Amino acid sequence: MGDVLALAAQNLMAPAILFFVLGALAGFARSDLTIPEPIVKTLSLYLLLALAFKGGVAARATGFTVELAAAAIGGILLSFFMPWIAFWILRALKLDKLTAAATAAHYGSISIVTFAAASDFATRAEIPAAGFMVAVAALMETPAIISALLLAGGKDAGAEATSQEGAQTVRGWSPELIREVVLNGSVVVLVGSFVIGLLTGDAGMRKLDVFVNAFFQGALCLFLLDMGLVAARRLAHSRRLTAALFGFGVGMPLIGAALGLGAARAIGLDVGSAGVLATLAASASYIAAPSAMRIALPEADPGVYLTLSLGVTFPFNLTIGIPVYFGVAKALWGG
Amino acid sequence: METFRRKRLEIVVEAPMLEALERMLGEIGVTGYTVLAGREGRGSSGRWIEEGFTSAFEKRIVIAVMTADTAEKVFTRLKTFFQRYSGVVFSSDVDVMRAEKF
Repeated sequence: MGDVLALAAQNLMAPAILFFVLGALAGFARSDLTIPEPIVKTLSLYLLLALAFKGGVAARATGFTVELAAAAIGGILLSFFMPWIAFWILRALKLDKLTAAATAAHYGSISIVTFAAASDFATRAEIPAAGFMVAVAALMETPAIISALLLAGGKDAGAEATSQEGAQTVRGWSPELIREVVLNGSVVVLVGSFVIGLLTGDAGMRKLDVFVNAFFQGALCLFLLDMGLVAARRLAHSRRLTAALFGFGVGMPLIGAALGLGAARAIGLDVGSAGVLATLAASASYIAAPSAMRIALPEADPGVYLTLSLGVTFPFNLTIGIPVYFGVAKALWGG
Repeated sequence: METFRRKRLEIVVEAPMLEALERMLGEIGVTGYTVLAGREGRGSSGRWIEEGFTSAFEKRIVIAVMTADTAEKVFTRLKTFFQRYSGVVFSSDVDVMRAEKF
């Protein structure tokens, strides 16, 4: 327990976390602080590239292991099945079916920035995670979106209104949805950079060392400053956030983290990778899932799912969740 | 100078649905249009702003000029489209120099 508290305190004093808090305070105080949208996009691309490239280089060093394959399968299964738990809870909280399904997709899918923060935390706390975890993260983006479509009731439910007149607006797999899910920009950069890291290894790292390592912290700080602003503005404008939903936004990550730790234990991952898998399972998407849900379930209320994932779960994981997941992993793994 | 009367349509949709809209315009036979990015604004679900980390709620504005007949077809198709998806469409009369372009 003391360990967990020490890790939590240490986490809160990290510059990246403090920049997030600064952004949030500025957002709540209605400061005119903004980071230009193209810069946020570039920063986001940079973080994905650096993370995945480093992961690829590390994965090349360890090679293809049974552990890697097991972690990949574990991640996919977590992403696929967690939406059912989330959906069940949300329906019990009387949320409408489609919004519950869309929200469930967000909680099965992952947040890559939370992953970045977890990797950063692991490095700082000297609990290193396996390089291949970034590939596991990429694999966990999509399965939950499929689950949400199944939960929403497939192709026909609620789509009668649009079946006539050939307005091809389907609940199922429209071309836009497939493109959004498979070729989502962030997934492409993530997978592509991992492969490039894997192919080029240490020689590639020597060329990109300064770019992917030295600038990483600064970029993360700037990006989290923006995320703090956005999260605070989301919360301030939220109209449908009830106490029960807020409870879900904090409780669901804990359930996810517990499942993640259980899966990591069963697979036999090291303590750092277990902390990362728990964080991934606890995190909620706000990049891939919202776009997919706007296409597949436009009736679902983004005021619920984006506010929860961005305004509640992301700040919770960033400030409290990550150190707790790593702390518990450390205690369980006897490190 | 001789000019020709056409309809100018402005269609605002969410970025993820732009592709579907473009496919629909193609099917109807709209031969040209320009897409602009929306920066921020206010609509039935409150205020929105281009947020950078996800394009899910960004708006795209499609501007197209066409004959009144074609515009009628676009309106009919969009009526069903907007039953599910967010967005608006409006038209105005414009004059063009080269009738064959539109």
